[in-house]
Amino acid sequence: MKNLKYIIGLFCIVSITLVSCEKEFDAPPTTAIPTGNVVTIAELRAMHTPGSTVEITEELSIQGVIIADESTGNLYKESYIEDATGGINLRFISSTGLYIGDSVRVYLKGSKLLRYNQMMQVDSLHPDNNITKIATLKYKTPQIVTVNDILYNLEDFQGELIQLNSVRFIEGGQGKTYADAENLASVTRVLQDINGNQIDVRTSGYANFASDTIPSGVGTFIGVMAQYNSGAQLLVRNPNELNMNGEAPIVKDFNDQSLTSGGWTVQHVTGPSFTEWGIFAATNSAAKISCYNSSTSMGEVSESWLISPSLNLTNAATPSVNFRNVVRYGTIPQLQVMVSTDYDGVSNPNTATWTDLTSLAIWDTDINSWSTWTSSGDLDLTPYLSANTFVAFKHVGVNTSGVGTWELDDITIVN
Amino acid sequence: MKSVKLLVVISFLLSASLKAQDEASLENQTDTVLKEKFVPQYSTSLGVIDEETDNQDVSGLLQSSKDVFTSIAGYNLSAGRYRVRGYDSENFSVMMNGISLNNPESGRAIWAFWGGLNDITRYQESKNGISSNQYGFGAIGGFSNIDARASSQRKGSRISYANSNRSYQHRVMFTHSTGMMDNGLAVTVSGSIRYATEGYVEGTFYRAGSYFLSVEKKINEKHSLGFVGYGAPTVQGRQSITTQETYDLTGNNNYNAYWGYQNGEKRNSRVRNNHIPMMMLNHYFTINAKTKLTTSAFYSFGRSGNTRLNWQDAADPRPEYYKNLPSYYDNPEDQSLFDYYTEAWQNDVNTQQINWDQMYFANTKNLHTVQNVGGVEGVNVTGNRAKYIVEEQRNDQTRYGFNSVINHELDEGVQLSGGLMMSNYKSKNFQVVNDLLGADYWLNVNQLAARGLTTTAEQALQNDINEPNRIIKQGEKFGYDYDMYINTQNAFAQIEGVSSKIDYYTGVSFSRTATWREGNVENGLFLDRSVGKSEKLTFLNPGIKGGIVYKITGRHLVAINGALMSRAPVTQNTFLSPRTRNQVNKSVVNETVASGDINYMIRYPKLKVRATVFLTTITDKTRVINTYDDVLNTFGNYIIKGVDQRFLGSEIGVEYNVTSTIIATAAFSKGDYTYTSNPLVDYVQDNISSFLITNKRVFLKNYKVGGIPQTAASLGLKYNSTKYWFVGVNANYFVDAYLDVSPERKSATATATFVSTDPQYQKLIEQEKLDPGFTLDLFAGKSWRLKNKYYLRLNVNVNNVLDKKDYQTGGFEQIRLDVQNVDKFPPRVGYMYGRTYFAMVSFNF
Repeated sequence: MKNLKYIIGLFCIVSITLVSCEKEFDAPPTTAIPTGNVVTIAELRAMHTPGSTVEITEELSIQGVIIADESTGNLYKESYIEDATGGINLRFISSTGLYIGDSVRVYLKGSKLLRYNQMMQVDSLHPDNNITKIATLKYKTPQIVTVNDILYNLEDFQGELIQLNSVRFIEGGQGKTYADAENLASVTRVLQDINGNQIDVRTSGYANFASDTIPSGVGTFIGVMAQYNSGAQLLVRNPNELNMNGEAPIVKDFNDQSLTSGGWTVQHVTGPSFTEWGIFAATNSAAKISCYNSSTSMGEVSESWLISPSLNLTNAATPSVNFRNVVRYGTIPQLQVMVSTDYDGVSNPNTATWTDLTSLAIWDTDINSWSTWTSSGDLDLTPYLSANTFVAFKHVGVNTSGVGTWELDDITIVN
Repeated sequence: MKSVKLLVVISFLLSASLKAQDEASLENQTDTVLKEKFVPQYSTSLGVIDEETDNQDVSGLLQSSKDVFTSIAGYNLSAGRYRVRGYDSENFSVMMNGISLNNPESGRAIWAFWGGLNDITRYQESKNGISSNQYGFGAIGGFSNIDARASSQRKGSRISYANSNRSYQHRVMFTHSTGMMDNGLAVTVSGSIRYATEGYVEGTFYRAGSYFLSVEKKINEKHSLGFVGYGAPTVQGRQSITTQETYDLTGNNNYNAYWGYQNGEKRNSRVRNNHIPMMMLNHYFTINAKTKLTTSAFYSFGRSGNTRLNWQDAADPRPEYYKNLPSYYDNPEDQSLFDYYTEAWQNDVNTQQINWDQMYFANTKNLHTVQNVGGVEGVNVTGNRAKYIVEEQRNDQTRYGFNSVINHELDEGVQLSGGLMMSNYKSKNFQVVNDLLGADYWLNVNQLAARGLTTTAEQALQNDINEPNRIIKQGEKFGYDYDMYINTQNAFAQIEGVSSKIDYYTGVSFSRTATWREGNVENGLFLDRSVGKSEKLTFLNPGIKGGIVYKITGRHLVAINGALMSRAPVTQNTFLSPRTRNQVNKSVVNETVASGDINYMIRYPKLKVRATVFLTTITDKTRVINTYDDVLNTFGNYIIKGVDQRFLGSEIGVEYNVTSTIIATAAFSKGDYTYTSNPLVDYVQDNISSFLITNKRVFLKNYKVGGIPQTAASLGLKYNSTKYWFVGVNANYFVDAYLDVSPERKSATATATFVSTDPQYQKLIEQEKLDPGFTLDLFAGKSWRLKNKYYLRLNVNVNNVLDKKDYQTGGFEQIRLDVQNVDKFPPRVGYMYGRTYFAMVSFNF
């Protein structure tokens, strides 16, 4: 019986140690990814021979910050990296495990440098064997550019993080989604700036925001610039960083050949009827004004106002007005742009207080051509926030020779 | 001191000699039982969540049967995955001292929980088919009651050593029984150790212990009290079941995708680690000469876990994943990738098997900052985030209850039995990080949640919204965490009579089962439904059975048995997606089981025969299959409602003593096991509460139940020498085995794209029949008697002597289907082992 106890004890000990000592496996020795020669992204891009796929056989690395990742599903097995010299698309053989803000070194040996429909990319990267993570949360600030900056310099912006201000989706407010989540199909939506310049935004049907509605308003867009053949294709990283809820701009383009549609008014204070605001009717109509009397070849004394509808700017962040102008025959008298917060909308405008913004605008000075349309630039309306703000264009005729004719178009008031 | 004790053990092994008994088969039985048996009724579509149930073979039960057919078939045919009458193991009832050991969650008895206690479990009372049963109502396949009373154990000691090349390589077992001592006490102890660095299948290791204690105290002539406690801690590397392509590429029909080299050592990613001790108290009350009352209380608890790889932000590391196989790159226009992968599979062990070193490499350099850890603004943690981990999926159980059974002799030859049973079961289901593989932490988010959501809410990604972005270290819980409760009450009554011409029995049973889920974490996807208690589902299940034996003469008998019962659905099928939410599968109903058999038996001293025809229908079964869809990037549950099956067949067993020393045995069974309904299917995703598919008809009717040979035969010859040795041979034949069909392939949506003359259409609708298999087994033994009181025995048996490795024992079609290419997700199949042996010496003293 005594032996028995020992034997049982032995069995218990052995069986418990046998099972409870979970076998420990030695961790394999750690190895580092080689670095080789570190080049800038611009230098790497320069290594590409047009029309070919360059196999990178040298010990070469680039270093930069990840500006787009797979976390929202808009990218799959790819990423974008940017350094001070440029950006490039990285394509992997599997999920990348990279996150925006990762500062990484990409070992390029064994990968391929190629253009896919003009978009430069490094292909065939292995997320573990080619990437060394150096630091995290190194977020890159997007560079603020205009639509035209991109459209005219596609190559310069490829693979870079950009920000566009005062843009809107032309289909915004119609309930359209970023992409077709049901059929997992990519969709292109078009962004437009206040000057009407357009650029594509393309979203994958696999993105987890594919079925989200695109924003309806105007504001700031942040994304990655990619190229598809001769066009640009912006990629949304995360809809949360789009701040496009501003009210849609008031655009007066006179294409309906009406001066007063949309609540605009003309106040002809004094002068013959030909000195009143009129329409230059054409495919792309404009408003037109002159005090020139063709029978005397002199100007007439006159005063005529083109006045916006009442604008509620109470909640506006950075309201501005922007218009295009052209002058011919003479720069006298100067067309004026005015702003008021106490006008009643119907009376003689001279009963109200107006601030003259004329000096802030850029005006055409070439009196020899109708084709020198000039953008005024954005005239800041922030000092005039009110529930009842008016913007007006005032023309005061003078009785001299050499008076000109002004045309005005695409008046855009951004909330 | 320890070494002294070890010497004691070894000396016991060597110091005596004895006499033999045909025990090899019994030893072998547990061996087969413990072997990974992958016989799903339905397939899972992808390996990520494949079947984890311990699908235990019941052959162990059957070998000890006294029935002439069952004892032959149960042993000899188990290697070919033969199942008696085609039944799943939930149709067999296993008890110990009258307490049911079938797991309430799966309905199955899990032999691994008492593995290695063969010296105890071989003493069992077994009956096959529908039968009388003094302990409970039983099941249509039969029952077995292990007698673990200390006073029932044979007095003496036994020590044995076994060597094998199957699951384990070495086994040492020791048992001692005092018998009923003068002080009214009887004690039995037993223990064993089983060990293999590598079993028959590459990468499978085995480390198991077991212990058993039974104490019985006879208080007086009427009362005895007993205690039984046992457990079998088992850690075991598992074997995969994969597609034919992997077997062809490796030239190995027992290819195991679960292991790989780590730092030059073989490591298995799928480790089963179980330890569910059981304790019971029994009160044996002999009220009078005619009446016995047995009352028991039991408590069982412990851990049951299975490890597997998990990964985030990374490629699927499993070699057998279909995108890691050459066939995925098979493109007639450009075979370069196909050739590349074929070459790698054939020559690079890190492609053919799991590449642990690469996972460590990835993990140790994946610098990442988790922001707002635990939901606390501004708390950031930077470190190497795990891309790959080994996780353990736990199913930790506690169960307690009691039962009370009365047996009363009503009249001469008429026995009345009745009883009450109660069992309360709870399983804790959760995930634990088992190994970070060199990383610093794992992030507790559900990356699969993102896909298919209409919102990008960060919250949706959280497995636990009350502690978002939690960092998980080794040994900590993550992911899902829920408890499953199953409370059962049962009452039964039976009358059984024996007379010179007619034996009869009839019994009734009534059960009530209540089941519910309780979530322990609030999942970001199912805020209101993931945490707390679900609705409670209650099932009421009556049953009735009866049988009669007509003795034409004492040598010729006819028996008829029948049973009709309803059965509560398996709990895991009653919830749509238990991992994430409390949502109940509203369509689940009780299963109905109807079974009957007619038997003719011959009993001569030299000839024993049983011939049987049987018919069983199981209707209204519900099955839930876990799937993973890598297009939708989500786990899903494929719910099949209203599955009906019919099991029709015949069995013949013959045992004939040719001479006084030669015994010939034969067993033959022919079955027709068929689906008889066209069920409806619902398909629900883990991450969305709406259904992907509702009430889609799948045309299963007339397909065969797959994965098992429906016809099998065994012929044996045994020579028993009067000089205490024996030798024997068995020839076994398996035929009419089919792959189990995927319901998804048998639906109108699958076939709609094809005209019926399209070869792909045929591939969709046909059921693959497996080639017949043939094995030859040899066994031999000798025993010696020493000093008139010690016995030394030696047994050897060799299975599949001809080393045939090309017999497919079963398999299943994957649920996953690409209607553009019906061969894209080929069936998974398994092969029988080649030649294996089991040798044992035992010493009784």
